[in-house]
Amino acid sequence: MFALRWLAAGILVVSLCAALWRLARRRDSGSRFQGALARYAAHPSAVIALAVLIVLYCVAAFAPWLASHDPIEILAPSLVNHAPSATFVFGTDYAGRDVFSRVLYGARLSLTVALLATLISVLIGTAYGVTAGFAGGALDAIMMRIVDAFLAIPRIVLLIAVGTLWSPLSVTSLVIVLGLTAWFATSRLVRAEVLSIKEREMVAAARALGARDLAIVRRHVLPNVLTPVLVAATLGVAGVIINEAALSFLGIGVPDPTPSLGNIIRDGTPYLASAWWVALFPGLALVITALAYNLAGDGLRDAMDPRQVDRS
Amino acid sequence: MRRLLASRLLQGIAVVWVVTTLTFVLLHLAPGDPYAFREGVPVAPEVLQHWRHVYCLDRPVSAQYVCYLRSVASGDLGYSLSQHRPVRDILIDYVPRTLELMFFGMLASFALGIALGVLEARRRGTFADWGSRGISLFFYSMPDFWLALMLALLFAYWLPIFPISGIENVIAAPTNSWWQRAGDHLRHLVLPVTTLMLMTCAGIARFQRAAMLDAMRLDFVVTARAKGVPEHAIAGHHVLRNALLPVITLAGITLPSLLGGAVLVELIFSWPGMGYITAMAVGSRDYALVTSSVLVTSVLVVLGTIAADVLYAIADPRVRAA
Amino acid sequence: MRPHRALPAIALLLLAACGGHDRNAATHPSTLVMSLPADADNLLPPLTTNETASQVGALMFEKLVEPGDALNTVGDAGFRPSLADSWTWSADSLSIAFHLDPKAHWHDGVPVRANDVVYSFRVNASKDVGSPVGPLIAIVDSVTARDSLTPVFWFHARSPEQFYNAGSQIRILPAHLLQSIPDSALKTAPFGRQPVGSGPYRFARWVSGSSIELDADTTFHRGRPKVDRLIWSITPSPDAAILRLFSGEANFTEYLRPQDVAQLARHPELKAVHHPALQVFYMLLNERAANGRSPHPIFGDREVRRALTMAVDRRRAVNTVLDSLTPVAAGPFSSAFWSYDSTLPRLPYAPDSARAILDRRGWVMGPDGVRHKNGVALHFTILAPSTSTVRQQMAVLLQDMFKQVGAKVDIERVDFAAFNGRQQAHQFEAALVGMGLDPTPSGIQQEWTTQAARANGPSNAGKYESAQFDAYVDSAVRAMDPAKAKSYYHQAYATIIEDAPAIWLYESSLVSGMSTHVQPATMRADMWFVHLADWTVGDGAATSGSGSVALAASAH
Repeated sequence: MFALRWLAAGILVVSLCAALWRLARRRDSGSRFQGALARYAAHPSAVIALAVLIVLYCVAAFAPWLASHDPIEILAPSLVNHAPSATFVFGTDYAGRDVFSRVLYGARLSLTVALLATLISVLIGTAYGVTAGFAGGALDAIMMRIVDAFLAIPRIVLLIAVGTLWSPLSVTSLVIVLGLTAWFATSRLVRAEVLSIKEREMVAAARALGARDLAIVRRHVLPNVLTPVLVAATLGVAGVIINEAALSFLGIGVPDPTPSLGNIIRDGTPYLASAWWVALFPGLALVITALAYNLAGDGLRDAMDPRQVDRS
Repeated sequence: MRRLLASRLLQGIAVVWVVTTLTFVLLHLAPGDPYAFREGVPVAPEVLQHWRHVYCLDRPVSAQYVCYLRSVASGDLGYSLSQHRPVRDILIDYVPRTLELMFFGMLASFALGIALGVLEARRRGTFADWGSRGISLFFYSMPDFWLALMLALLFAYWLPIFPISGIENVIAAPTNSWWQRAGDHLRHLVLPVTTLMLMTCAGIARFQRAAMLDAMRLDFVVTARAKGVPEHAIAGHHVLRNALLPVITLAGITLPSLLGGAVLVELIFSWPGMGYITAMAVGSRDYALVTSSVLVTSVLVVLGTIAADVLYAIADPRVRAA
Repeated sequence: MRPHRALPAIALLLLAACGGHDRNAATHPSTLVMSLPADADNLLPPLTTNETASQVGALMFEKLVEPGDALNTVGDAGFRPSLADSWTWSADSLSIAFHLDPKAHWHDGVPVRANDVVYSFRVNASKDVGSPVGPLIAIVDSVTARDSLTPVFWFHARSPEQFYNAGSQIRILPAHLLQSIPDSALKTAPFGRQPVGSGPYRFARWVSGSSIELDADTTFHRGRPKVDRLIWSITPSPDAAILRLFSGEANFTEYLRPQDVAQLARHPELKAVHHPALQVFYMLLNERAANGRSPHPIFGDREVRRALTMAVDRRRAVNTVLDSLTPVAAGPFSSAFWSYDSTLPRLPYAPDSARAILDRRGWVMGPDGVRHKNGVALHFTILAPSTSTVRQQMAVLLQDMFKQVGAKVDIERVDFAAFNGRQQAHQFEAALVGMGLDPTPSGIQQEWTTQAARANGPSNAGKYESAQFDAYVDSAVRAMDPAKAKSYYHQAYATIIEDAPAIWLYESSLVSGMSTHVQPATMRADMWFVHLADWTVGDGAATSGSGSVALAASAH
């Protein structure tokens, strides 16, 4: 019964991938977007990464439907620390909970948190970078010094400090905190783009014609900034996922009994020798997700910037 | 050169000042009073007295900020309520061990990263290139604590050749000769350093590869090739030297990520350094320790970046002349 | 190009390969290496409740007398001489004169004298110092020095355990090194990190976060200890501590969990030793609200506490987290006490009754599955120490069981020191407490009486107050006839069980893991480490692998 659900999900995902592939294959020229897509499709690793990501997000979205058990439900005591079997695909943990279902729900939570946090960081970073770039002079210098300072602090150390001082964190606060600590590199990128655009004639011309700064931002800056920001964001999601897992591992991330990939690993650490499956599978899930994001981000970077010399 | 050093130092001080302000803001915004009876641990009266004086607790926030800056500048980083001693004493004990880990970690990461980058550039497009890039990216995408756990599992149960915890063999330590102790110490370093190295080498390798490919296109290289100089000599003398320069600047970027990785790696391998203390401070809600950790790591990063810049200036005559 | 660059790396690797295993085992004195997951904070006994510090302190500092292994604390028959050779009672039993062993001396050479005892008593009774045994020595009026070797303890009334409280609660400290330091400054004195005692072991070194080492005092007045070195090997977590035992870096760890015992079976060089431990674990309920004065909206109601107890299937919880051999606790006492009997009442596992009671008390079930009363939700937080895997797992199981009767529970984890601190400051709602019991049933007085609640000290953190209970306990403690005392204890126990100030979970005996070379002496139920000086390590030599005994202290 539950195998049928997986079959249905699989068909859905495969059809999605096929559609994307067809779109990429279409050689007719036209928009820059289609050119970029074609370049992206030329990297097999990037395509596989994108497919994996689609699969992951579909699985995460359909988690309640695909999970074999309730992720929080504590099963009979005799089923504690059971090895993987037909009923419990990834085995059970110390409380007798199904690890497979927990990993599904955990992945769902971790992926959602990472996506939302990255969104927040992109918004903040872009706004900050635009402001600094346009402001120029002393304000720009001060703003960038502040960013330098934040970049000098290892992110996990800052997260630990905030997480400890505001313990315990709810999931919402966790998203906000992760977002607030991830925007620094983005702001630098955006500011650099703004500075380069400021030089260009079209902006000078627009200014001469009386266009206001905000309009310039909207029409010239944002479209050009979109590319590097998108690349940075994709690569950044991988980092946010790992940081959230680290925080949950330390106990200051997602609270019990809600599963998150990090706290499932924490649950499995005391039993590393005897019940290694509890720590192994969520870790693999994390690696696959981060790897997929990294490869996709790389592919995106190579695809979207035709000016870059082909290094491959 | 002197101007470079001066300007970098000034920038560094500015950065440290901003970070200090940040920790002050965090301490005061956080719920609960950082200077009071936190977690029910009674604070000794003379310690409270000391705080009232040093941190100007009876005065308005702006005065407290100035006092805080002054105390940090003089090296007083607060009092740890979980270890019952000044943070400075704790740091004196634990920071050197992290510095040691960082030193070997940087060494190993750069050694492997540069080697991989060179390999990938020379064998561009072949299986060696793809394979190396793939594997290093695989390790780069791993959470540091999970990699550490898997290595600990491997070396604890299946391949017990390296110790998975501690900094020394406590039994033998007092009676060992200095080189036995050094060797013992190194053995205990192997696993934490390997974890850090595997995670960081991908970024360095990729950078080095790109730098090598760029350098290979330079005019004088093309000329040398045309003159018939053998390939490996070109790679060795001309390309590598030019390509090594950009990698030095990478030190400034890899140091924060190494220090961050050190937190969980030190915890899992029981390496009692700054990161270990930070991770333990989470459980005891020790405000002073977590904020000091933010400060200390940023100072380390600033110092490391300045060192990298100076190194670059020494290595690149073009910069020095400027 | 390649080979010469590899040279430094090869050299480093060679160096690494050479260090490590010390081939000459005979050059090493016999060593006990204990792996444990908690660093000490301060080694001066009156200043710390840290378990590691207590163990280290027990081997560096002596008491006047020690209880015998049977733990008979009534009268003076069950005691052995320690710092004191002998003692004399006054005719009216209102004073006891101890005679110090003239051979006893401090590790710096100065002989132990009566004014050391006078000083130690004063420091432990001082409010500024806040020693954990302060309330226990309250029945002692004063201590004077009759001559340089005879401290005298004075009491205002007789009691069955006056000898125990006088001679066996405080550890004697060197007055000549400490009396110049004001009491309030003791906490920051360097002595706490480099102590000098009179016990069988002297302080060697303390490497923060890594190890604490003591060396045998060959001139100890009761004979040279058999083990030459004691090392406490510190790790960040219980798992790492156990791992050190399995890898041979330690040869003793105090606490093995059920899964570790199974793992140990695969190591023929290790053995598991069961020994009694006077420990009771329970979920303490704070009967006061956050402001400390008004009753807690949930736990202030006796019926609700009883209902919550009935919602928990204690046997199943203990079976899941531990094993079926671990007994469910009946109350804040050990089933090994002479005051215990099996006819005591027990609140059953009856979730339906629990729900009925909650309904009756006005806790109405809401649509989200959580009960409400007067706008307050049946929502509370369980505090658990992160150093104890068992208690954390227990918390998760309890959370689920409470959910079945409509209570929403959060779990908060803090490390052991913070956990103790929160308890002492009454900053918790429910806490999973592990109580090391005194070897005498009269210890219940210290922890559960109204006087303890009113004292605002570390005891009776849940503020349980019952005049009836106080009366029974008082009678039991004063009764000189054991049969009468036992019946009074029965009444007291029954009262506290019915009042349910805590949900009694389990009693644990300890299973320790050690190398087969280690021969432990008797592991006394309240302090297994008290006879460490009499342990032996098999062949007498230690290598870097097995052969040394590592003591593990764990805040499990």
